[in-house]
Amino acid sequence: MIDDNDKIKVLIADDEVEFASTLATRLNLRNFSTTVVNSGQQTLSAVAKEQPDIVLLDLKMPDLDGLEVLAMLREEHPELKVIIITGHGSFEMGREGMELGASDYIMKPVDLNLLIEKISDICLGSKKDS
Amino acid sequence: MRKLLMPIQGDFIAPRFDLATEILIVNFENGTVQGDPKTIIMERPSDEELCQMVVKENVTDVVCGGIEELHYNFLVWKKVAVCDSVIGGWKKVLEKVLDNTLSQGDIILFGDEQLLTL
Repeated sequence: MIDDNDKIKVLIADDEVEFASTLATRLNLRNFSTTVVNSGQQTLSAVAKEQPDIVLLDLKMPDLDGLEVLAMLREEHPELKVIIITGHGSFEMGREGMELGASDYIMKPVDLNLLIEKISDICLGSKKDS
Repeated sequence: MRKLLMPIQGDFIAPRFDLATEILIVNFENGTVQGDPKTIIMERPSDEELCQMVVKENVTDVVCGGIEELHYNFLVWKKVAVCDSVIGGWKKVLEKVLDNTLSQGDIILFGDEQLLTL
């Protein structure tokens, strides 16, 4: 049994409510601890409040653009790990996100195994480094 | 080797093909699962995208709940074996697919299934 403190804390920021909640359910079943937010502003508040290990950040949100959120996160929480989640045809935006300091990106529809591999590599890799 | 796609919702086969956002893809041969099953989470429900996924992933078998005739016919035209109107927990359904005992319209009662871990 994994203690809650040992779980990787994932903040899912996506305005597609069903997508975000489904992803959270699946990640919870794989022993991650998740929080879901549905806007850019909520993402910034949740990062300060929840202190996640990693943020899964959608690039298209209604209030703040994902890249804007990413820039603000980089400024206020430079150590925070971010994986960009991009929709169809926004491969370039994913790359742009990487240039802004995101750790990685993944395209929708999301292959859960691939996402978990990326999260684990990034979070466990950074834990080893520290 | 055959490749099965099941639209799911939590522990169950999704009741409607066009409203599913979770997809399970399993390779199987001679009644056993080959490799790790793949779970895909779609951005939003879309029967068109799901049909595209079936074609792109070279799926040979689809098991689902309700599906529109248009999409059923498209998949059959693409030589995909579609077993529709299936109700039940996806684990039991998968067992029946592997045993080759699943039929169209089967209702599989929820038994003592474990929580899903896929």
